[in-house]
Amino acid sequence: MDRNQVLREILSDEEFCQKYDIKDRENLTTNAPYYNKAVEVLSVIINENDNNLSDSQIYKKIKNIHNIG
Amino acid sequence: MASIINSISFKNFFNYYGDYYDTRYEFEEGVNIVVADNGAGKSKFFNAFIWLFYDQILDSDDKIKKNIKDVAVKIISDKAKNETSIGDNVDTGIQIEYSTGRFKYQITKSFTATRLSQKITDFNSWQITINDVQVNRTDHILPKYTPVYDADEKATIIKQLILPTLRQYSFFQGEEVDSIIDFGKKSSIEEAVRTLTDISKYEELVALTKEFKDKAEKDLNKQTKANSDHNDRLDKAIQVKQHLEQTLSNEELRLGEYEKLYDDAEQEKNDLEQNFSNAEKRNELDNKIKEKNKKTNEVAEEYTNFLETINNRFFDGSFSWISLGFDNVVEDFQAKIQHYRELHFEKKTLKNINDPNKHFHFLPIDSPDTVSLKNMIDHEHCYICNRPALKGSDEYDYIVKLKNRPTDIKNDADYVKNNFSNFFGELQMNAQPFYNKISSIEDSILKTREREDALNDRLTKLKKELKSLKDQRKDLLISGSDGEDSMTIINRYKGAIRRIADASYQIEKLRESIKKLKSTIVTTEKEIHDLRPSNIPAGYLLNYEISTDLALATERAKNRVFDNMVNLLEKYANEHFQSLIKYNDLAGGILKFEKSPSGSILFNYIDSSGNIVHGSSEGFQRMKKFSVVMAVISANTTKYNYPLLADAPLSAFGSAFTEGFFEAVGEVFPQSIILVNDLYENDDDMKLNELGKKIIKKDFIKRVYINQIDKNREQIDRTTDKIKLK
Repeated sequence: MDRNQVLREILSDEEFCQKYDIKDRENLTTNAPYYNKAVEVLSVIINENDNNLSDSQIYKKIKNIHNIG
Repeated sequence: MASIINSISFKNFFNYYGDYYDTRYEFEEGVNIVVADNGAGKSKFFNAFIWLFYDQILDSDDKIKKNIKDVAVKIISDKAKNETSIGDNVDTGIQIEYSTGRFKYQITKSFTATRLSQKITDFNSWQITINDVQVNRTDHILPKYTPVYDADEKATIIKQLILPTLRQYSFFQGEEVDSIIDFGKKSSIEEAVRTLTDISKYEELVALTKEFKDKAEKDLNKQTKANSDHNDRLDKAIQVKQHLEQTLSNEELRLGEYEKLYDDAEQEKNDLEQNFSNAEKRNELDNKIKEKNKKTNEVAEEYTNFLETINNRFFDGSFSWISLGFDNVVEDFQAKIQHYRELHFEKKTLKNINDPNKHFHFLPIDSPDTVSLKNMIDHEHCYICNRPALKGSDEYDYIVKLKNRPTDIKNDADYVKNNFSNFFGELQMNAQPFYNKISSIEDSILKTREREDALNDRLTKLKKELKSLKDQRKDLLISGSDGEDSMTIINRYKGAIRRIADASYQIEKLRESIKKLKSTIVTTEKEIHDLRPSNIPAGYLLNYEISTDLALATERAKNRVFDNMVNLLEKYANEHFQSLIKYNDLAGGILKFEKSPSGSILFNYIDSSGNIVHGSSEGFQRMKKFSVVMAVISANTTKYNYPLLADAPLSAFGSAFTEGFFEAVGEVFPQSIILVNDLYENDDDMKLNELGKKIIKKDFIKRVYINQIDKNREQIDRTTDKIKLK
């Protein structure tokens, strides 16, 4: 499955994009660098789930994004 | 590039007797058809692919797929078995060639059987050795195949002919279409969507984001508690929210239960739908059959009685049929009796009597007297004629005979040997009632014949009607279940409808309640948010906020993907459906996919006025499902690269759908190999019916074979012969 396609599908949610000020949705990818925290969190979830990381491992990475790890 | 099957050959495989080159069927891209009457090898042909993909065979005796080794003896051609001596071997196998863009493959699966004893059908009479699957490959440049040795590679080559996940849409026997797409089962359409969309990935993400939302909330609450600035109002609000969430969870559980109840009821309703409509029809038919049976028996009895009375009409004076053709007999009789009388009187008048002495006495009765006769005997002389009558002469003997004559016996001989006076008289008397009727007999027979024909016609018509009704009922039994009586089915169906309505009501109520709970939770969350101490690290707050929003967005994305695919399937299904019914007089109408209250997809046929059409025929139901199968293929984001292999897909369609079917599969599948008997006509020189002749002329039909089996031959001599028509 195309990770970018899943990312764009989830981010086609108007309400979500407005709230987090996500722009240029057509060109977003799950690859770094990220210019938006919400996009970064979602990308990490998509990528690391694909990489077969466990739930806890992924959550740790998310916490690191928020500097609360 | 698409996988295209180039050929299939058999070696002593069921009735496909002979070596691979004797039984080679060649196919091309496009639509290929093998036409065969029942028993002429269609399912056996299909079985070759079951062997190829699964190392199994569908046993026609019990319709169970069995491993090759367990049924090997059944698979070997009886003719080949019979020709194998004890101690000798016979090979049985299938060989399939297919191409992809770059390579061409040849796959051979076979086994060797050694005959051990006399009885050829006995499993113990054979020792079976399954041979290694042989896979050869060429790149279209090299003229010869080179073998593939790696077992995994061999398996992959077999697998890629039709991928296992897509086989259910591309490799099936007629009635299997019903189970491929069962819209009563929530899983059925979900499975199609899953195959096409990787929705499971979205489901994983939904589960993950929900879990992260819960974790983020716990982390945030922990931070809140750890902070000295927290207050009672916040604790209380958190507790309220937890309680609300617990209630929500309970309500969602209940909703799940009612959704299951709804699904089960919907499933039962769908299962019974055909039976219900059949049950109603069956009731109606039973009444009609009963009435028709009564009428038929009455007419049959009338006819039998009528036939029995026909014999009487020969001798019954009212009809006198026996005298038919005797018109001239009266005159003939008159002439003959006249002649007789004349002869009679001629005789009487002595005209033709040669020896009057035999008939008449010329002396008075009892003369000469006994004393005179004794005197004549003693003197050996006749004193009547005065001649000697020496002892031993005729004269002497005659005198002795006269002396010994009984006195009371009538000495006259009849002057004719038989006197027919009485016979003719009686004949005349008895014939009297008959010959008066002779002139009207033909008319009477004609009327009787007309009456017989009328009764016979009526009886035949009634029997035909009765048979038709019974056939209709039989058809209903095939598609439905005869295990239950019609009333039970009707009651169960109505019960399922009631349960659907009850569950729908409960689901609606619960959804309303869940909506309210969620709204209250949002309000409480806002309250909690406002009450949280200001010195909590921003990361915790943002983590919770993003997690919460992502959980919602992912859930919505999953639903969107599902709905979009359902809409796409609906669009394609309608396109294919229109192709399938192209040659049918079915007017208007569309296939509609609608979400049920439980979230499963309801699949209906809506007529041009917007009404749901219920109780359609089995063939029509299957046609609808086949439209969806083709929609699944079309909705595939990449080009569909696999052939369609279908055994008797038309069996319940009805001829009006057949033409559209071939056109439609030609448009969807790069290659189709369709095994049918619907185009077979035994009495035709080409062995094709009119529709078959029309269809094979179409350009998209690439190859057509007819399978023939001489059913008059013993099983051990039977072979399947093929005729290539195109």
